[in-house]
Amino acid sequence: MMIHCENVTKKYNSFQALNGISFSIEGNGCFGFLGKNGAGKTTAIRMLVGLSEPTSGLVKVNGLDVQKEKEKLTETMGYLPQHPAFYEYMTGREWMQWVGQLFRLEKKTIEERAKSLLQECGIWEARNRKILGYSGGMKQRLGLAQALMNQPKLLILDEPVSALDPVGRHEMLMMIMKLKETMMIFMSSHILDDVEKIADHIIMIDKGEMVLASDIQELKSMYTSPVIRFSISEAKQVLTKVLDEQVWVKNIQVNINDYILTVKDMNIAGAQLPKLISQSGAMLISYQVDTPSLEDIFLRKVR
Amino acid sequence: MMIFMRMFQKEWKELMGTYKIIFVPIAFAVLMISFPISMKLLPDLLAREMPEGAVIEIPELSTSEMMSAAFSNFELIGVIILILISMGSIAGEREKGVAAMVLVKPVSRAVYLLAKWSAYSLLAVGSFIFGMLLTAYYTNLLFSENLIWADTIGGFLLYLPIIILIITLSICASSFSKSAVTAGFISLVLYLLIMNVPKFLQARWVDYLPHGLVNGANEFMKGNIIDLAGPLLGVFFLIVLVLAVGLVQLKRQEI
Repeated sequence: MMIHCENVTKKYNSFQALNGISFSIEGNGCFGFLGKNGAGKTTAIRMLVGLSEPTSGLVKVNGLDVQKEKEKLTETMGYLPQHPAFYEYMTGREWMQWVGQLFRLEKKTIEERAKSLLQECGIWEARNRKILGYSGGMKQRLGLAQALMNQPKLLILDEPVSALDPVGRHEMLMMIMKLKETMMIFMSSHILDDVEKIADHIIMIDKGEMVLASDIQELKSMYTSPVIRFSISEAKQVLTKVLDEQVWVKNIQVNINDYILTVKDMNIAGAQLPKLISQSGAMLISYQVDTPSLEDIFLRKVR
Repeated sequence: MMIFMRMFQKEWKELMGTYKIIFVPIAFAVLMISFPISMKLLPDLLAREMPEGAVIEIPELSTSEMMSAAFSNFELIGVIILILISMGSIAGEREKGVAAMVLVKPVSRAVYLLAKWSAYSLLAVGSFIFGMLLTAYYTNLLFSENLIWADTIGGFLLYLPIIILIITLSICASSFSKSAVTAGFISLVLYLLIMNVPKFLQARWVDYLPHGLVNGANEFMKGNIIDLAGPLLGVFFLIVLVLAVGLVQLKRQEI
């Protein structure tokens, strides 16, 4: 599965919602789509699923132009909008059956898939209740279940956990973790902790423009600050003196047994520092390289 | 075709679930039948209110004329009912977000619109036939029992394309706006323009416009045969044209 966006723009009257977005992603895994409110995430997602047309530029999914071959694409695509809406006079089970029929599935397959998906999404108990009586969280769960009815190769989720309680959120994330092994998941979310837990790649936009697209580990290493924090068992004047003489050390802050070391080269520091601590006769209690969270990176990029 | 049938079945189920399938025929029947009943009761009501000795002569209407009048009674309020029941069919679903859930499945926008149009047209036509038959039966029963059924049925069959035109206007207007009220307003204004503006025009092509069919249906009920090929052709052309515009508009729309 592959998504390719090339110089995509979207203009609503005088408002420029997207301004030349370009990215290309491929393969299974979870792709986090991040941006502030109003950054253009939902606009871009709606173009990916064919609900909206770009003002200019090209949106291709699996090599097919979304606008021209939308119906072919829907066969292999699942979509959960931010606020899923249903025919509320139907029960959860009836909706699933109807969706299965639209995908031309056999009756037996529909029954089997509907049962297993409703169970996995935690709404099997409410299957015979009218959707009218479902809570926001239940609708989101049903939204995910029905998006998986055709066993898609691409699952597009717009803020999938926004209406869920902590338990529901955890369950949904676990499910996405499992699903990403077999399909491409393109997910927008405001909850950066969640994205950090499950995403393998990040695409970030701000005010309708691309900010970055990167593998999450590469991104973290790119934004890792050259700071090492460590604590030793007892204060050692000699260690401070030795560290001060090292060419790879830029700055030292000492607070009794706690050190904050700013270094010039993280690789040399990583190799040398444990040796020097050991030679000083001190015992290492804790050692931590300052790694930025996704939230730190996000704030740095969009502020 | 299979997807169309699934969508049509869903629409039909929805008409049943929202009880439109019961209320619309009843509303049409009440609307049409009220005229012959009030005509039957009118002499008694007037006699009660008049001073003693006063005489009022009410010209006696034939059953065919009665049917024609009942039919006219339907015209504006019936049109409003038809628009009210169908104006939110697409606009409402777009506003709530259900249209987005459906149109990301293998359902083309054309099938989505045509399934709604077919279901609502069937409901409207069925309700109209039910109301008219009931009115014809009671008119015949209450008055002279000399109704010419062939003329009556022929008359209201001629009106069916107009019913479908109203539904077409309403459903297609619904694809232009996310607001059901706006869609209803657009379709009502369009209907009134189509039906009334030609009355003031002298051109030859005016004969092909739908207002001629309404008059023709009325005359047919009274037993007068007039050539209606032109207006019939005009109504069918308008239905196809409005449907095409609605489809193009829905395909271009942001859902």
